[in-house]
Amino acid sequence: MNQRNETGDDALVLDRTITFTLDEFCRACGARRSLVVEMVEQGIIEPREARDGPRFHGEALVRAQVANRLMRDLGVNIQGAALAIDLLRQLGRV
Amino acid sequence: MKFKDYYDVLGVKKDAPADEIKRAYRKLARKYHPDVSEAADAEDRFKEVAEAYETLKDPEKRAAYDQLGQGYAHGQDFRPPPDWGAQGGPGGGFDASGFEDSEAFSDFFESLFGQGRRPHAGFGGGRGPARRDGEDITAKITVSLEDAYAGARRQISLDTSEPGPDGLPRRKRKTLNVTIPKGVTSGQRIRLEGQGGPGFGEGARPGDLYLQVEFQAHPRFEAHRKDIHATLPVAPWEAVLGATVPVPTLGGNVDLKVPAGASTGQRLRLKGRGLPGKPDGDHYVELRVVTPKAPAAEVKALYEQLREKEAFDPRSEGVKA
Repeated sequence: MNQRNETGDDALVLDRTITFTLDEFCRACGARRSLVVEMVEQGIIEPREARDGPRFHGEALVRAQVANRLMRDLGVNIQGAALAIDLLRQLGRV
Repeated sequence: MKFKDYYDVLGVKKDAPADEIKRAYRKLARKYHPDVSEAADAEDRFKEVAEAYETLKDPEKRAAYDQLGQGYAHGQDFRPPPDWGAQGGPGGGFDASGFEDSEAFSDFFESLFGQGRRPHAGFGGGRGPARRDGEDITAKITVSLEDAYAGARRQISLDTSEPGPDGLPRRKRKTLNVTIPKGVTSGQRIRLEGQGGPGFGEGARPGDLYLQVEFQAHPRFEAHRKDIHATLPVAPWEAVLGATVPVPTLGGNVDLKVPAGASTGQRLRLKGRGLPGKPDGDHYVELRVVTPKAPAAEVKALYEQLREKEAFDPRSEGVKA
C-alpha cells in the first residue's frame, strides 16, 4: 500500500486515502486480474493512473468485494453486480 | 443443539426437485443478502438460507440429511448418531456461501458435514489443491462516538480455524488488540492484513480480517458520516434576544452564538467540530425553544405583561388574510 493511516498497527480504514496497486488489489479482494479489469470496464471501480500503474482506493476495494459476493451468492453476472452496485451507491450503502 | 428443517427454511416441499430448490434459494438470497438487505436479521437469515441450500443442492448431502432428519421437527433437540463422524459424513471440499464473522455455518450443520467456510482463494483459482490461502473474515465492531472521535484500542475475539493434527481445519478462538482509528465512520471497513483465517499448505497466505464499523447509539448525538447532529434546548429569551451558550460536542463544550430571533427547528453549524478527517466533520445543532414548566409568580407576571404588549401571533405567520 502506498499510504497508511496512522493507526499504530496494521489496521487500515478502507477510505479514499488508502491506495492499492493492481497486484495488492487483486490479492486483497481475491480476484484475478482479468476480473478486476472487467470490474473497471463495467464501472464498478475506477482506478487512478499513476506513473507505475493503476491505483485503487479503499472504497473501491469494498465495492469490488461486494460485487464478488453478489456474483458468488446470488449467481448474478458482472453486469448484474454492476447494476446492484450502482443502486447501492445511490443509497449510500457502498 | 436444535434440528433445522432446511426445507422449511427455503419454503419448499421435501420432494422438491433441484431446480425448485435453486430458485427458492436465489429468491431468498436476494432478499436477505447482507450487502443488499437492510433487515436487522438479514445476516442470520442469509446464513440460514445459504446453509440450507448448501445441504439440499448436493444430492449426497441431501440424502444424508433426509436420513438423519427423519422424525425431527424444526427446533427440536437434535444429536447426530454417535457413529455419524466415523461413517465419514459427506463433508469436506464443498463450496460454502457465507458472510461476516459467521461465515462458519451453524453447529447443527457442522455436526453433520464438518466445517463449511469459503476459502479466500475462491475467486482467484489456479492454485493447486495442496495449498489453500486462508479465508477472509468479516466481523462487525460497535464503536462509541467518543472512541471514533479520539481513536481507541479494543480487544476483539473471533472464531477462526487452524489446521489440526490430521491437517483438517479446526475451530479456534482468537483474540486481537485492534486500534480503532481516529475519525472512523459507521459503515467503513477496517482491514487487518493477515489476521483472517490461516492458510493451509506450504506458501499459503493467511486471509485478512475486515471489521465493519457500526456506531453505538449515543444519548445525545447522532452521526451522519463525519457530521454530528444534536438538539440544543434554548430558553425563550435566549431565542428572542440572542445568546452565547455552551454546546456539548465530542471534543468538549464549545461556545455558540445563538442569533437574536432564533426559532425552534433552526439549524446552526459548528464547523470542524464533528468527527476528525480530511476535512473534519461539522457539528450541527437544531434549536428547540423550551419554556419553563412552572414559572415563578414574578416571571409569570412578566409573561402576562408580554402578552399585553406584544401583538405577535405565531399562527398568523405565512397565512394570507
